[in-house]
Amino acid sequence: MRLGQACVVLLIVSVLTFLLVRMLPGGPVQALLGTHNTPGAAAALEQKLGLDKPLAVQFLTWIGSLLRADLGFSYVRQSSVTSLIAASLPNSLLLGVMAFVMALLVAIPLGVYQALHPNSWSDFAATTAAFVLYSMPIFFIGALAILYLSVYHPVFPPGGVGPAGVTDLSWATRLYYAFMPATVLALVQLAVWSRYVRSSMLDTLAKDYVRTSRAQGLSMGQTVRRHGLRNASVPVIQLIGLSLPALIGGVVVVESVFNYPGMGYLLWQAAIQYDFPVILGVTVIAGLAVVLGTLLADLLHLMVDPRVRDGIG
Amino acid sequence: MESGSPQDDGLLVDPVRAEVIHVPTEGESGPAALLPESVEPERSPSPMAVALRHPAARVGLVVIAALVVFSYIGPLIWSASPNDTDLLVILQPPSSVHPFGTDDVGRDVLARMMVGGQVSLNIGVAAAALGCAIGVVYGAISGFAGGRLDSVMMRFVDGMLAIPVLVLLIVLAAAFRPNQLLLILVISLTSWLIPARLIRAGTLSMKSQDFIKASQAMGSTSTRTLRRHVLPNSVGIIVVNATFQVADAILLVAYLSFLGLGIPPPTATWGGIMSTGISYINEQAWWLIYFPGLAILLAVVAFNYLGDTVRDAYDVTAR
Amino acid sequence: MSPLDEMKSVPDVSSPETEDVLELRSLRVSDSHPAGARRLVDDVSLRVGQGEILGIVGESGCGKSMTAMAIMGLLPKGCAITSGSILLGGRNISALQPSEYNRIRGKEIGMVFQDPMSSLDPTQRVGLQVADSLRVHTDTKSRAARVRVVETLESVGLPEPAKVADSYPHQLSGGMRQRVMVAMAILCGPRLLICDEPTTALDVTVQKQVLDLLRGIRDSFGTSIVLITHDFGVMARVADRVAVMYAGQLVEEAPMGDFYRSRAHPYSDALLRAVPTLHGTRSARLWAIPGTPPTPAAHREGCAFADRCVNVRADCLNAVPALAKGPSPHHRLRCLHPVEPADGASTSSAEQGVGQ
Repeated sequence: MRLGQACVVLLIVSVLTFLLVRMLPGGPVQALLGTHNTPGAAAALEQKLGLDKPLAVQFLTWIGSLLRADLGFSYVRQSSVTSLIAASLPNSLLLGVMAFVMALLVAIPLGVYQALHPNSWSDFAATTAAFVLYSMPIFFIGALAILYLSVYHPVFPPGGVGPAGVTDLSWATRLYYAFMPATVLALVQLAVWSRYVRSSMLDTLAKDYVRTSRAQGLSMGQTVRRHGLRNASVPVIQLIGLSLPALIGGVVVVESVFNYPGMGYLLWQAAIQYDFPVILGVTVIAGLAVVLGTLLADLLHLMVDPRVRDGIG
Repeated sequence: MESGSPQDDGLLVDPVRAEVIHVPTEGESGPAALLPESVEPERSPSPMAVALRHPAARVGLVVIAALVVFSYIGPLIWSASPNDTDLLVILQPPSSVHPFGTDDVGRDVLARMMVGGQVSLNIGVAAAALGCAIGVVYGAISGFAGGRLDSVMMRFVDGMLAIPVLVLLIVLAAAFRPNQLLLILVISLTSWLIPARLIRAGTLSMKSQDFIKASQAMGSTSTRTLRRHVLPNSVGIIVVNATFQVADAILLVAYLSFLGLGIPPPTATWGGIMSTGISYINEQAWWLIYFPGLAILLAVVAFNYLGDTVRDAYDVTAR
Repeated sequence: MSPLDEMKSVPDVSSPETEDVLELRSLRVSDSHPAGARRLVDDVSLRVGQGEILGIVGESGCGKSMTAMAIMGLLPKGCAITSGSILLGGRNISALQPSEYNRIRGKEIGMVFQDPMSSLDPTQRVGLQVADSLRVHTDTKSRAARVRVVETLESVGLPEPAKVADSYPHQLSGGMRQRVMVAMAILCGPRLLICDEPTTALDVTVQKQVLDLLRGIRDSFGTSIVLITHDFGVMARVADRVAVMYAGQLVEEAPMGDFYRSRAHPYSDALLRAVPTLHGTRSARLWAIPGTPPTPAAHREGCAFADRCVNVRADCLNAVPALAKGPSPHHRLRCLHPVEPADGASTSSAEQGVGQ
């Protein structure tokens, strides 16, 4: 249903990045080449971008190269942007998925518990904690984690994906190194998501079919498992889909704090070095990730709610 | 539809701030849930007046006032220079000479915190105000235009909301080396989206009311309708949202300066101090982490809390 | 056939010798209002015999639904039984632990709710939802449960029961959904069925079918039914006995025939006159009860109906009247100044009204 909207997002991202390159100070060739601006390279790039052709043709050329997964060449790194991203993306995926799963594993039980005991002391405490956590700058939590768990008490490594110089990393090592950044990322999401779960479950528990289920002789716990979770998940899935952009922003900050070589770190380094081919490549991938995530949320929604399948509601 | 998805029935809820944003779908011009159901010419009470009457909201205001005093009046009292380096006292923990300690080049952290506060508050408030102004104009145009233009304009807003704000800011900051003014502009480019939706909703609900139809039939202009009817009825929700935007903007400024993409050195920023703290974390420079971290947290919590309590108070009085 | 004629064919099951399936003894339900606990159900005593249909009638907010939820042990948060007891087949169930109550609900007491649109989980197939009570109360295997569910769906008059079991609620009509709700309530063969406004949300033609279904269930299984409604037409179609509630109190109770002939509480009389009649030529105007029902109170001095009553006297305001013997056998009444036995005109108009 939001396929159209997804296309709009992709269109906006590609138009913005395309226009940005054209608007860069010194012109696109100068900006993309940076200090590697030799007459030969400039001529080749000009040829490739088709700068002598009309803007519309240039745009189509740019879209065409995107579709061929050709994101350009980083003159700063002397490497193709696609290969740089290919090296970073798995690390970010591990971090993101880990944080996502951790946040959900805590947010769902916590939110359900709060919904079952609304306005209790524990509900109030969790609400307050969520409010503070939500306002917490991610790098502050990250810095505290490093200070206490790496510097004062060396439990976890302060950064990276593995020990320096080791290239063949085991899964256990990867998880161990990703644990602290993922937890920091999860904490912030958890604050938001537990609120989603709480309010959605509160709404659901007030529904008539919950009363029906209780009248059938199901206990409160059975009713929550049988009807509550599934129905409450409908709005939660949508809201989590909507919070993906924030999650990606969080990935950038966390990877910078922990020097974790993922997409966010790549973007950060590229931004500091004015490495525009990489900046644009990562931006396009980020837009794609949001769109895919939104589509996934829609798909899940479709699976959970039969009324949507029948085109109702 | 009972278990309505937030998209389908036009309600977007941010449960952390419990923010209900009514987004009428195409063709719908129903009453906006967020607007006080006041009938002209009754005006909603000023949100600031409500806030001042509400004891809980005062807490937020007091914290904000304290931050303002610290940042703007503080430098008049604390005479240490924020930019004077002293390589003999680098990375010193808090002492009577330097109550907040010193950084890696021996600058006084207290003085730098004060300047950083100015930067955060200047940019945060200005970007939120500018963002709201852009949002009001955009939302009003969209709402009054209606039809296909409205739908295209709103699809654009939806699309923009799906772009990670921080990624967009990093790209813009890398492209245009920022100063304070540019940062305000850039951040406001990301903070106008929600106000635009709110004003559009207000416009649509006003447009459907008979007295507006009558006044428009009698030749009243859209601008006049906007000024006389839409804005007074939406001012509460806009001000509430603006405080949330200030909180977000402060956080974004901090992230950008932490990443070294904000205001260039030597100007002090809270995010920049934190960044130094993380660089010297093995030297256990905790004061370079705690002071900026707590300051940002306090500022963001204060603005979020103010918005939250004012909205609650406003909802009550509107009912 | 008029409702009164139909009623004659029903044996008088309200005689005291019949074993009571349900008995309420001075039941009192209060909420936790900050200004003092208010009595939502105030000193209600009732009996429901084997195979009897008891109708509880009253305006919204009179405590009839609260009584039902108290019997189900599903009082909303903040509300609780403060005194009295609920006996199911002679066993006091009002003091049961939550886990023990779970074994009664759906097995010994079934319940049908008002709105079949919202009472079914929209995300689940109907058959699975209905089977839930079998799953929790018996160790029926899922295949056997499925057979039983389809049989029960068929027995409540649903065509193509297997197809219905595989449907989602939104694919069924309102009447079909209410039949599903009834099937769900009777699946485990309960002794008692509580129906809270079971027809209010339905079309008039469907209403009639559902009421006939309830009656059929009583006739075939001997199930006792408590029917809660604000609609005398519904009541007249199925109930053997009527209990009128006002402001949380039982104000009058009588077998259906006696009630029509000799209702004595001014409130009952006014309620009956308020029923619109389809061919109401003789009773030209519709009675409306002046005033609004009282809000629940912590404590009452005098008759709760006094300020809306046409017969009110000074002594009505002094003390709450006791529930005493009424003008006919098995008739109870809480009134100091009852109305005279109803005159012919109003009775027949009321009968016509309820017969629709």
